[in-house]
Amino acid sequence: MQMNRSWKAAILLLAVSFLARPIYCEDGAAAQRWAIRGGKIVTVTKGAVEGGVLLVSDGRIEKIIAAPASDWKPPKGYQLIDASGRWIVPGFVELHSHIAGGDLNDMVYSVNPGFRTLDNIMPRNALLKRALAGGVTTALFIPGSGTNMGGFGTLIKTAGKDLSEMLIRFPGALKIAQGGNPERRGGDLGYSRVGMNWLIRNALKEGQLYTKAWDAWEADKTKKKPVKNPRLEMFRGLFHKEYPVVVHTQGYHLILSTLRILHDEMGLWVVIDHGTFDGFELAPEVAKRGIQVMNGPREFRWDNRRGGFRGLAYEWYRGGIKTVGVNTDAPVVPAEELVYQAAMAVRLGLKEDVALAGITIHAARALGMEKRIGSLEAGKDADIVIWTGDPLDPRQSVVLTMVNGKIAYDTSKEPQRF
Amino acid sequence: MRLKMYQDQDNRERGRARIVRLLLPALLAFLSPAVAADGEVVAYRAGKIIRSAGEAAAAGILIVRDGKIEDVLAAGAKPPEGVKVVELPGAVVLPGLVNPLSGISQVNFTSGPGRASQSNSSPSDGRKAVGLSSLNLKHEVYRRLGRTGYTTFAVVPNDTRGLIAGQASVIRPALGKEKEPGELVLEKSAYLLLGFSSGKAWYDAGLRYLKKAVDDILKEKAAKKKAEEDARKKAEEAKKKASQPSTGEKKPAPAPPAAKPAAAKPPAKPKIPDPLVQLFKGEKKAFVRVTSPAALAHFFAFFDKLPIKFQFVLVTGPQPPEIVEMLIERKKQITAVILEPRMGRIPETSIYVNTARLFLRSGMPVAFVPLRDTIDGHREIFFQLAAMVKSGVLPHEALAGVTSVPADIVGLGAKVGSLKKGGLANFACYDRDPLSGTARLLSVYVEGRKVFEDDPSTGKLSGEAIR
Repeated sequence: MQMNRSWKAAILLLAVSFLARPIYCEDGAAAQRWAIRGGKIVTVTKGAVEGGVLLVSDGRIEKIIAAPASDWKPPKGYQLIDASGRWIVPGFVELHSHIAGGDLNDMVYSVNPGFRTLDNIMPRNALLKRALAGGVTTALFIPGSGTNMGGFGTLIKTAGKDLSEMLIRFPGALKIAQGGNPERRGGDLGYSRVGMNWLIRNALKEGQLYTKAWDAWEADKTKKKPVKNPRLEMFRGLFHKEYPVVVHTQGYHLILSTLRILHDEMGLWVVIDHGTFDGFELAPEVAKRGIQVMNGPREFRWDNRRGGFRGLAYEWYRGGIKTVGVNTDAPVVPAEELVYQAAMAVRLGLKEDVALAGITIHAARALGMEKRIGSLEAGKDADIVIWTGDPLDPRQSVVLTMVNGKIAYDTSKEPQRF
Repeated sequence: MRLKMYQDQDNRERGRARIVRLLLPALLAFLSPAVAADGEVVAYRAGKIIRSAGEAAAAGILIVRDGKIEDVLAAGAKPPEGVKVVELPGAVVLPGLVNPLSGISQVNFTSGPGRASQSNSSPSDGRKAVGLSSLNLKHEVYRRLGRTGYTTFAVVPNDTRGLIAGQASVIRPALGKEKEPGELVLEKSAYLLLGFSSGKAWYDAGLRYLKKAVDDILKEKAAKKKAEEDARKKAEEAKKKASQPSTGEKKPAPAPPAAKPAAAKPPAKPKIPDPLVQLFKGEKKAFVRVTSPAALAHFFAFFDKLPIKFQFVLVTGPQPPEIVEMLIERKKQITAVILEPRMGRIPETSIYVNTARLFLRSGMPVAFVPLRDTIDGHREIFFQLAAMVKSGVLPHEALAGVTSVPADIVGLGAKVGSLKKGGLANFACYDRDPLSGTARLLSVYVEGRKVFEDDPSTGKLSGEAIR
């Protein structure tokens, strides 16, 4: 009898779940399928489409219909978003961000290759919400520059109900600060740049040897297995160029040592962060090595030699970095103002399309993520931002932000945050 | 090896830069058409001229004589015979911007604006300090001022943070030929800046200084009344005496000696009026800087106690809506508001408020000052204003906030802040609507002389100044 009752209950439960399943799925599908119509679709990589339709399904861009028929209607199961008169732009990619969580500068040791920001992420925090309101959908959440090697950063989407939904890649990149900020702290070793460079080089050499030992064992497992060292473990991916090192480096002589130590000597995948002051004078050397430059948060410099303001992103561009981008170092400059940084770069000489590509596709490429994010193309993540107009115009604002095909910010349902 | 290579490259570039630096002034002096000789009339023809905030931009011709605007003609009109015509194709011409409160250009100025943190200052008395006396022409900043689009600055003395900070002098950027700072000055003492922080020391000092000034006025009034009374009595007595029959022909001897010393005495030195007293008499303008809500409460607590009051321009920061409402109720005392173009936040929330918009909707004029009181800060003003426009300030209000409103509140509305006949020929040319974040400053003219030129086609000398 007992048995029977429990069987009945089980059968009932099964039946209910079976009945509920298609309903749930249909709802879910409806919520994840969008047809965004009208306006100007700025694909970034393949020009702009006026009055087209962008289809989104399962968190990805399904396709862009360039010239829909006048009586075009969204296919069944797709919800229509009317964006006539608006600009539809890919979500911005921020390569230098500290807003996903706090406590990023542990300054007991100067080099900390074991540190990771992954454990500090606070989803849906207020600063991330404002970033969404500024069209930023991807951020490289990196440690601070209080020490020479702050640890490994995490590449995340700025929206998501929890970490698993936000996470794109961990480790996202290693953070190294070669000079400047780490000099603020007292101490014996690492107080001057000679000491700092020794510390960085020493830690990287250690990581390089560790990587080589493991590589040798992977190639020939009959050899003695190396001892696992959690402190050095993440160096293996770094030396295999699975992720880059983003370097807090600025000024001519510091960038020179970035090129020499990190690129030429260690053979790492390097991204120059900041790149301010007279660093741009090394642009030809940087370009030769195919290194990406993300300039900011300061966008200009008073040039004493020639007497004039110089737009730094523009100077990098002129010197050969055709993919130059900008950053905010949020919250140094608020994350939502990333596009202001780009607009400022335009005012100081950069072309509009270059500036926009610098915070979308070129930034994505700098992280090796160009196949997933950074432009509006079929198959890519549906990180889509609808603006009232040209995003480079500070009077325009975001109407709707979609991350992974889900609406993360919608001014028709909540107050405008930025 | 590589290092040496870089060094060589560096030296070569330095050498080139030096040659450019030496040759450029000569070249510019030779080429520049805009440095008009005295008395010369120049017509500037531009695609878009915004004569004053609120007016539609229209193509036109600006006629400039002796550094002043003689006329503004419509686009189709023919410039007068024999006039030199300067074409400004594609330029949007605006009145030169006006900063109503700045610490820039003062002797030791670093970056702290007039409205900087008051936490480390004391309630000191600087009523005798005048912006002009702290000018130092050797400082490079005077030549850079014009590169910002701003052509008028009301500068307050170096230490702007005391309770009575000092008197503001209105200056223009240096043209490069000035021998003494006075030549920059449009108005030596435009207003008196007061600043109030919260706390007992400030409350007491505020009450003490202001009460003293009021007492002085009341005493002066009483003394005047008494003097009048005495004079009246004397006159009556004299009348009485006159009506009595005189005893002899001889006049009383004391009169001439009494008259003589009076004549011999040099005319009494004109007493320098106390600016704080002038304030209460309505003879001088007042700017009052109170930033925090607590300081506002303290300030109004003792201000309301004073038997005589004065009108003032309020310099404040972004405030939550209820504080703005309280301030709007005091519209009769507060003639205008000076704000930085940034959003305020409601405490304990992440809701942002555009304070400027709230003031503007209540009909109060708002002037904007740059977020940072530096050359960079001034250059970025339209960027910040555009963000204000995004959150509800109308474009013409934003423009007025850096042109006509600040010009009016420093009392120079007839000369600067708009392009009207008889006003100074101060104007800035942009390559597109300046409120679009990407607009580039092309050139700036101060009193008809070009102080800045940028050539976007080369991009090489971005920001090069002409002196």
